[in-house]
Amino acid sequence: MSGEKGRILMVDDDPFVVEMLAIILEADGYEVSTAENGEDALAKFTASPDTGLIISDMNMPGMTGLELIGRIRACNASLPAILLTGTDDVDPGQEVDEYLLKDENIQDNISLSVERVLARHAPE
Amino acid sequence: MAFDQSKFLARFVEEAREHCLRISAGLLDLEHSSGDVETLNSLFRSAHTIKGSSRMMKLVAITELSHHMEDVLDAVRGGKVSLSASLADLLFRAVDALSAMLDTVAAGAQLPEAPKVLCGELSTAARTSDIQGDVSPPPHLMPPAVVLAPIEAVPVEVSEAVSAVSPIQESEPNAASSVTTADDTRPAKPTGKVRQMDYLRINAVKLDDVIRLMGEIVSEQGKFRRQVWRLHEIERATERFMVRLAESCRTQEGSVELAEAGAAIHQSLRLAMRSMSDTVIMQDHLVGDLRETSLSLSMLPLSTVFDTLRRTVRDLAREHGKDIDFVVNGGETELDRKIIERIGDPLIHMIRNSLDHGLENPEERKAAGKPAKGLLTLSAFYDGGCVTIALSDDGKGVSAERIRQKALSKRLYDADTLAHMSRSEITNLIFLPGFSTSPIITDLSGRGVGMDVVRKNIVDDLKGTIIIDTKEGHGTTFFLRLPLNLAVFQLFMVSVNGFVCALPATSIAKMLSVHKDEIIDIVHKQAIRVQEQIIPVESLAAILGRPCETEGHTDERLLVIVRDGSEMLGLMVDEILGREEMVVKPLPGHLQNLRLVSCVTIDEENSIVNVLHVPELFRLARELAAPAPTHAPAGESRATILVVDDSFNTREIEKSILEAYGYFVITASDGQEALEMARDQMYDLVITDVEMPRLDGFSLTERLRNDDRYRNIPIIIVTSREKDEDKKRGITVGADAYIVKGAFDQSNLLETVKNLIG
Repeated sequence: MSGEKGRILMVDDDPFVVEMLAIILEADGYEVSTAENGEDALAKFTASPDTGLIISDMNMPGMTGLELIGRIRACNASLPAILLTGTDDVDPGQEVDEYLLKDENIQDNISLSVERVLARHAPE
Repeated sequence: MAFDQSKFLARFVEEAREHCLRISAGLLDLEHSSGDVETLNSLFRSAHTIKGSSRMMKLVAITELSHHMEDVLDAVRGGKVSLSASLADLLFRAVDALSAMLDTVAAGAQLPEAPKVLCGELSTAARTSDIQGDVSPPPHLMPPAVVLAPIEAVPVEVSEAVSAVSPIQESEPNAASSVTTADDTRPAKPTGKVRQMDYLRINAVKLDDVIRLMGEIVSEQGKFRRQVWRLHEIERATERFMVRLAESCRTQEGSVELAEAGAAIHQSLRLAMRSMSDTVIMQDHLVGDLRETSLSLSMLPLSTVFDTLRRTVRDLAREHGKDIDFVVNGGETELDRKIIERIGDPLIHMIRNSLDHGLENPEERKAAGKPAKGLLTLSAFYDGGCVTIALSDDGKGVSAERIRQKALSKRLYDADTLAHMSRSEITNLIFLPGFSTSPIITDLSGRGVGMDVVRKNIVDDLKGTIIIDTKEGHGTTFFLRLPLNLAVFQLFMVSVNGFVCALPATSIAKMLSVHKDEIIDIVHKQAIRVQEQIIPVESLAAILGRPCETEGHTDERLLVIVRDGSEMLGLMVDEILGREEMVVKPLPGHLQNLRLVSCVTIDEENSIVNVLHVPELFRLARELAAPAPTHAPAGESRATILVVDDSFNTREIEKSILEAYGYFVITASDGQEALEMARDQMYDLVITDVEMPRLDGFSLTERLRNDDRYRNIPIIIVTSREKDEDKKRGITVGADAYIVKGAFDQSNLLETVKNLIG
């Protein structure tokens, strides 16, 4: 794995969100690659199979976040995934490890959520 | 937490501003292609994005407002609510409020709460289903009273006329700026494509430094190239010398070796020269590319200005009660950022001018046999190393007679001088300070800002030119010709009597070499006939006050035809040295009052070359031709102003302000008293309140206008009534200016007074 703590693929159609969250996670010591839509994310994932976590927005033009995670899991069934949403009326069910609300607390929550999910998936 | 939010604020503001612009542009597009789902979706997404990112930045007020906008747009998208003109207005107001909040954030100030009333209106609008019995979005969401028409309404001739002005139209239209050409019915796409490129944020100051240095390098490269050619000539001379030396040495014993050694040195000189020439040629290419590339760094498409104007035009036309189509072309034409930044205000003023004086009311248009809907066209195209922006209306055109009358009533020139002015000289009068053909100065026509300011911006600040092409009854077109950038200037170097000076390429219309007999004498003035046009001719030496040899060595005369507005002038010069791309420098502070020199540049001999200010050349040429221009005696006697107000305080305040600026002031306490006073004595200007006992200000104005002596005397109405009906009433009764007391301050009043009577 590259980076101190591993590589995260960050997907959101709003470049602002992508960049802001990437900056936070990079400050936490992760290596972050970014994508602005599902297709782009699939290409980036194929190019960097060492990705250890995917964080994707739910609502994106083209492919939704859940579809994207579904297709990536078809290649790597155990890849940890976090879904970002703007509203809290989404029920991602068992498809993702956590879902995270894009609210005013996200600056703090994102780091905690990533740590939690990665800890859960860490090899014993 | 390592994340420093403040560093990210600027980024947020910038993106949110882009989305605001997109929402504005989208709303305007929807007025043409109502119900376009793609556009509606992109509007919704923009509001949604602002909401999302502002929430993450903890900017609660922005989140709240954009959330309400999102709700409204969602309702429109779902067909629950129709996008009426009033709803569009509401959304525009919300965008304005949002932009204002972004400004606050950008300024680092504390964000106030979301505007409650506006949010309330939005949330009501989102819930109110106003479509009777029809749930799906109707084909035309706009009621017929809306200013901008659906696409089909644009007559076909229009698009032909437009393509005639704008050759650039051929190229791929910029989606954001292509509006209503008849053949382009596609809805404007959101500019999303551009996003996928990689962008880098660069401090504008650093960028300017790079461009400035590039300009210096281009100038230096030119000098270097010429020096290399000079060396080349020296090398050739050396070669010829060596040949002769070798010949003369052949006869003398022992000198052959010397000659051979000399030839060897020459040979290495030649090789060195050859590789130096190659290097110069290569560098010329590279420097040329560097120049293009670095200038393009700061080039922006004109659509950045044009797109915001669409909104302005819509609002202005509605306020004016005028029904017009606004057609924009050539938004993809690129200009230097610094020019783009400064072109907006002059354009707005010119558009106001067209709405005020050019485009008629629907009734007047019908009476003149024109379609009820007016047409305002804004186009841009590349034009010989410059960019031309054309603003064209199909209104009533500029009436030479009205301009003449106005100039007379403003005492700018006397009747005799005016009678002798050519049509283009008359048209150019609208650029004189204080001149405005407007029958009224309203909030819209911009208090105290006239076409003179437009010209100052374009000609003095941006080194461009303005040309007016007007046909009475058929419309007016303003052509703004601008340099592509302000860093490197296209200059023509000319010489008179060995004195070298430069003229900006933007103001040069033609250069001719003519036989001296082609220059004709017309009443003590020299002139030349070029394509059925008589253009006055003056020797540049005479204008510059330098001795000039009246009889040249040859019969050929070199003429540089320069233009200023619609006027042309032929400058006789000794030599045209060539066109150069030069870095120009502003004059140092203590020399900035020099009217004849607009800036300077440095030539290859490191001497300073003056860049001449073309409008001043025109003025001096006129003075030479007519030694005594008859300006009316301004300021010889103090102007007398009648101030009418029933409030003693207001009266006295206005009086003291005006007196401080040298006017003589008499006061009256109501309309009746004023009317009686005006009968006994003539005043140069009347300032009146509206609400007064006995006779109000409107009636006073009306009665004064019925008096022949007061027909052309300026009248200013100062009032607290700011309703449009009242302003219109002010216009109909014949006031020259309408100042709302809320916006009233002393400079406002003074400026208006100065504008009207000087």
